[in-house]
Amino acid sequence: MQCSKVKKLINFYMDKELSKRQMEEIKGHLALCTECKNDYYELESIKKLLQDMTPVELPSNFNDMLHAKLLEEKKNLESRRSYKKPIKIKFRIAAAVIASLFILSLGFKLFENKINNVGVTETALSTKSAVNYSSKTSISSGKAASDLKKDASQANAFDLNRGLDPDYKRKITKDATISIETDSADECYNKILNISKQYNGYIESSSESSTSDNKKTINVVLKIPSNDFEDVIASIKSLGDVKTIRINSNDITEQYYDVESRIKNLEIQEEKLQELLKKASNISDILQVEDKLNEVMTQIDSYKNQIKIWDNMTSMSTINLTFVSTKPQTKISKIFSTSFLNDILNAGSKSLNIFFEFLKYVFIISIYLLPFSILAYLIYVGYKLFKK
Amino acid sequence: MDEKQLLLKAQEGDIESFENVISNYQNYIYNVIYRLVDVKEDALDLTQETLIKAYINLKKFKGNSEFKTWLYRIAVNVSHDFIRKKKGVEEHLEEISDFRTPENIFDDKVTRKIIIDELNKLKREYKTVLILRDIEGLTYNEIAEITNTNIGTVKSRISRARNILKENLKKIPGFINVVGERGQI
Ligand SMILES: [Zn+2]
Repeated sequence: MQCSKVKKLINFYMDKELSKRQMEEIKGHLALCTECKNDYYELESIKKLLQDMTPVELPSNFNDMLHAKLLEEKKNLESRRSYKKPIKIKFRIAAAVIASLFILSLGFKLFENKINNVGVTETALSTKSAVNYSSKTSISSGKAASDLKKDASQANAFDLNRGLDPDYKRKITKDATISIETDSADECYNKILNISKQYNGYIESSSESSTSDNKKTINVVLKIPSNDFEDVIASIKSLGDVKTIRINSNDITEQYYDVESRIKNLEIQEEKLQELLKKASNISDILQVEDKLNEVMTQIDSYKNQIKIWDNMTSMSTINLTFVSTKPQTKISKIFSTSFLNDILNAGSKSLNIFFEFLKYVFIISIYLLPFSILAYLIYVGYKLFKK
Repeated sequence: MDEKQLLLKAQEGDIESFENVISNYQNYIYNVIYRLVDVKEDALDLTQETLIKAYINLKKFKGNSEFKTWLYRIAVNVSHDFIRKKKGVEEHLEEISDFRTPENIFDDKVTRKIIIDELNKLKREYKTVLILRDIEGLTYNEIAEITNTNIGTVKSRISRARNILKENLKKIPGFINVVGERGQI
């Protein structure tokens, strides 16, 4: 083989990316030709230097930073995807059509009721709506239960990945807003004081106001242990005529344990840094480790604060209460109110009732649609698989 | 769970599965990017950018190539974009001639610094193949996929890049002798 050809192939000889025959030929040439041999050694020594380059290591907080960013991106992706899926949009249109139909029919109902004498139908509606409320809450707790089941299957993987306590609890925050009409707001307030004592809760704040027609309104923010939330709601309902009730529950289990495992990781880091600090001898090392240590400790503090807030939120539920006296304190305004203001109030509560009635129908319809949407989804998935 | 299963879960958006898979590669990615851009802070940002891009575009990964190669490809593209934008804004060439006296060349740190500086002076394509081949130890095939070229191009670039680097290093007094002696040991 000629020197010029060896020069062309020498780099691939070095990488062992030649045929056996070529490898042999070049090996033979290098044994004889000092010029090519020198060339080869130079190239090889540079390659070795590059190979031995000390690799850099990602800083320990990299994963945490990335995790936060990924969570953000996941949110973005999900909102984008839901726009993209044509099936979902079709369902939305269908739902909108059905909803508008129901609004129309409810409108008719409203009309009908107006023609009827309001007195009787009104109480009927309000008991109906009370049933509504309770069914609504039972539905949401049912959903939480199914979520729990669903997540239980994931929980194993979750535990393994994150090193969670095996006996971890779901973290759910609950709150309610209730407004009640009663003969005496003061009486109700006293009863609430008793309830909060009975259940080891407390009144976070309360305020009082009177309307121009001398009707008293009392606002109370009640904190109650989460375990007794449902019981307390039930006893509050019996205090008077429930006008509005809204119950929210928010499952923060995933976020909660995520932050908890971050704290654990950071604490391990902190320990390691403390050890390093003991070993460090020169000042610039010490300063560097201390810097890092500070960073880690601040991060731990802020996570711990978050956990504290969440612990408070999940152990104690908040109930926002409003009591409205139906009976004004003077007789003059009573005449006035029974004739006119009562009607306004009735109208207000009626529209609310209609609204909840409407919600109920939307819910029922979505239950009706559920099997069809599951079927449609399965067909869609099947089609996608088939296409693959 | 193996990588394939984890990737399927990750494609559905599962962050933990994704993190699980990339944990095997993220340091390599960081290294390549660091060698390409030569500034640690920039490399950190770009590593994050690379991994987030991978997460967002994961559905586009069809498994035709290896996931590792696919990640490297994103990393190289992200870095090249960065270098292109940065170019013209600042042209930083550190003065290293002070070190270039034969007695200092025995110092490992200085040797490395010289070689990195010379590597950084190479054309982008040359620098990239050398980083992927000699520092990262990837195969010609992988490099072809990562840089979106064919094996022929990769081969000629490697050959030319090494020869240019060698010639430039030879211009530094005493350098190649010292290194050459080491190579023979
Ligand atoms: Zn020769």
